[in-house]
Amino acid sequence: MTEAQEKSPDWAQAWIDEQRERLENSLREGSVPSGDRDLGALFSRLGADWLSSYELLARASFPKSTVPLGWAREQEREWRDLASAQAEYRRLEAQIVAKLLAVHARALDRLQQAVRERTEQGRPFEEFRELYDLWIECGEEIYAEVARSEEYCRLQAALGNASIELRARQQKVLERGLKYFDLPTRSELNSVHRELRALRERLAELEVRLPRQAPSANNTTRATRARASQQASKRTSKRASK
Amino acid sequence: MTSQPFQDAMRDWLLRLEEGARALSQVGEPVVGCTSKEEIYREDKVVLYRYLATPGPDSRARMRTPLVICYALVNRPYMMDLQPDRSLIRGLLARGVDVYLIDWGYPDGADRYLEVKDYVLRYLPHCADAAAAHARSTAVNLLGVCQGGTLSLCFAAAHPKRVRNLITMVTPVDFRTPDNLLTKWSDGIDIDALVDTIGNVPGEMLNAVFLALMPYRLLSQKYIAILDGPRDRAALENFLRMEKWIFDSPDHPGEMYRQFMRWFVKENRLVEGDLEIAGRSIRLSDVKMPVLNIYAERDHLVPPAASRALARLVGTQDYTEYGFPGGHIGIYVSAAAQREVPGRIAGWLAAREPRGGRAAPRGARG
Repeated sequence: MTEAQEKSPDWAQAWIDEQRERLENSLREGSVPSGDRDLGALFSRLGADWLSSYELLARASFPKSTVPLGWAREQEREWRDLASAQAEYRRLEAQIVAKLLAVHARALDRLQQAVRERTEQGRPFEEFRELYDLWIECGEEIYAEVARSEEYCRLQAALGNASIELRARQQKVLERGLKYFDLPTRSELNSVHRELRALRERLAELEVRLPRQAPSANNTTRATRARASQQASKRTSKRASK
Repeated sequence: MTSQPFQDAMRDWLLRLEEGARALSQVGEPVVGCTSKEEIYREDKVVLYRYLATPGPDSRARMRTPLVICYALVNRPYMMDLQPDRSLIRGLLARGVDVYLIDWGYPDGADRYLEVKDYVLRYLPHCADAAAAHARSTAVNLLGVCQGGTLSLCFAAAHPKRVRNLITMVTPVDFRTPDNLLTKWSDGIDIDALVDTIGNVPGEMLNAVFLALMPYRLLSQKYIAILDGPRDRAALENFLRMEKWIFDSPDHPGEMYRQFMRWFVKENRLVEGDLEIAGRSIRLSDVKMPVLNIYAERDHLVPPAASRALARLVGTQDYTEYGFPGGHIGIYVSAAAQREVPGRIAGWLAAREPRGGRAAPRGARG
C-alpha cells in the first residue's frame, strides 16, 4: 500500500478501486472492437449498445428541472421527451378506457331495465341471440350519448394528439439511430418526395405544351394524354376567343 | 330463463356460431369487380377506365356524353361494380350510359405531397378530357361519390363548361351540420401535427375512426349476425366481399388530407364561399350545369343535411334532389338500390342529353 492509499479515507479508496476494476474490465479481450472482428457482429454489438443505453435513459426518471448536459445531451433530451410523451399518452388512455368501461356499465344497467320491462310484459326471450341484440342496442344508445358529449370529444382529441406526439418522439429517436447506421430516414425521403412532386407538376405543365405525337404500341396512354391535353388547350383558347 | 335453460341456450348458440365460422372458412378469398373494362388514360397512380357493356338485348343506343365517375380517395372504387347483382355500373351500362371511372390507386410515400389542386385541377380535368376525347364528346357528365363528389363540385365550379351535367352521391358539402359526429371529433385534432408526423394518413386509421362511430354494431354484432345467419354460400360470399371492400382502404396523401380537413371540414369553405385552390376562387354559385344530388336518408357518415346544403349554394336553376331510403353503403349494394338508383341517374341524364345525343348501339363504334 502506498502512502497516498494509507492517507485516503475508506470510501475514497473503494471508489478508486471500483474505477480501476471497471477500467480493467473494459480493456479485457473482446471489449474493444478490433479490426479482425466480424463486421456484422460489430454492427450488432453497436446496435445493441445503442439500444440498451437509451433504454436505460428512457426508463430513468428525469427531474424536469434538470437540463441535460454533456456529449449526449441532445439524445438525452429526445429520450426524455419520448418518456414524457409516453406518460401523457398512458394517462389519457387510462381516462378514455375508464369512460368506455363506464359506457359498458351503463349499457348493462339499461339492459337490465329492458329485460325487466320485457319480463313484466310477459315477453320472455326465446333465444340467447335476442338478449345479445338487445345488449347491442343498449350499448349503442349509451355510447352515442357519451360520444357526442363535449367532454368525450375533448378527451378523444387529446388522446389522438398525445398519440401523434408520442409517434413524433419515437420517430425522432429512430431517425437518430438510422443515421447512426447510415440508413435512409423518413426526413430524407420526404425531401426526395417533395422534389418529386414538384417535378411531376412541371412535367405535366410541359406535356401540355408538347406537340402531338404519333401513337405507338407502347405509348398509348401518353398519346391519349397528349390528345386530352390538346383538346383542353383548344377548348381553353376557344373560350378565350369568345 | 332459469340458470340451466340459460346455460343450454348459451351452449346451443355458441355451437351455432361455431358452425357459422366453419361455413365461413369454406368460402375463399372474395373476388371483386365484375364488369369488363379497358384502361383509357394513366397519370402517376391514377387510371381512367371505360366499362364495356355485355353485348345483348341491353346494349341499346348509348348516350353520347360519357359519364365519368369520380370516387373518394378513402376506399376503393370497385364498390361501384362489386358483383353482377350489386353493380351501379352494370345498371348504368344496361340503360345506355357510357361509363368511365377514375381509380386513384394506392398512394404511397412518394405521393404524400399531392395536394387538393393536384386532384381538382390536374388529375380530374385530365381524366375528364381523356374520357371526352375517347367518347368524341365535347364535355362529360360527372358523377362524384362521397369525397369524390366534393372534389367534383370544385372541378365543376372551376370548369363549368367541361361538365355537362353533375351528379353528386352521398356528398358532404356542409361539414358543420350539428349531427356530424366525425367533424365534432376532428375539431380538437391537430391536423398539422398529424400530417407532419405520419405523412400519408393510413387507411386503417380512418377505418378505426369510422368503426368508432358505432362500435357495438360494427365490431361485434355484424360478425355475430353473419355467424348466426344463413349458411348459404352466396350470402357468405357477399359478406366477405363487403368486408374486403371496407378494409381495403388506401392511405390518404398527407398534404391532400391536411388541406381537405382544414379547408373543407374545419373551415367549411365550400359553404362559406372562401375556397381557393391554386389561387383560383372556387364558388358553388359557379356550378350552373344541371345537378342531381343523391343522398342517403340513413347515412351515418354523411348526414343528409350535409349533402342537402348544396341546394341553397349551387348556381344552377336545374337542381334535383333524391333521398334514397338507406345508408351510406346500402345506396350502392342493397337490392333496393339496384332497382332504384341506376334508373334515376340514367333517366335524369337522358332527359338532359343534347338533341341527337343517342349514339349507335355499342359495338358499332371501333
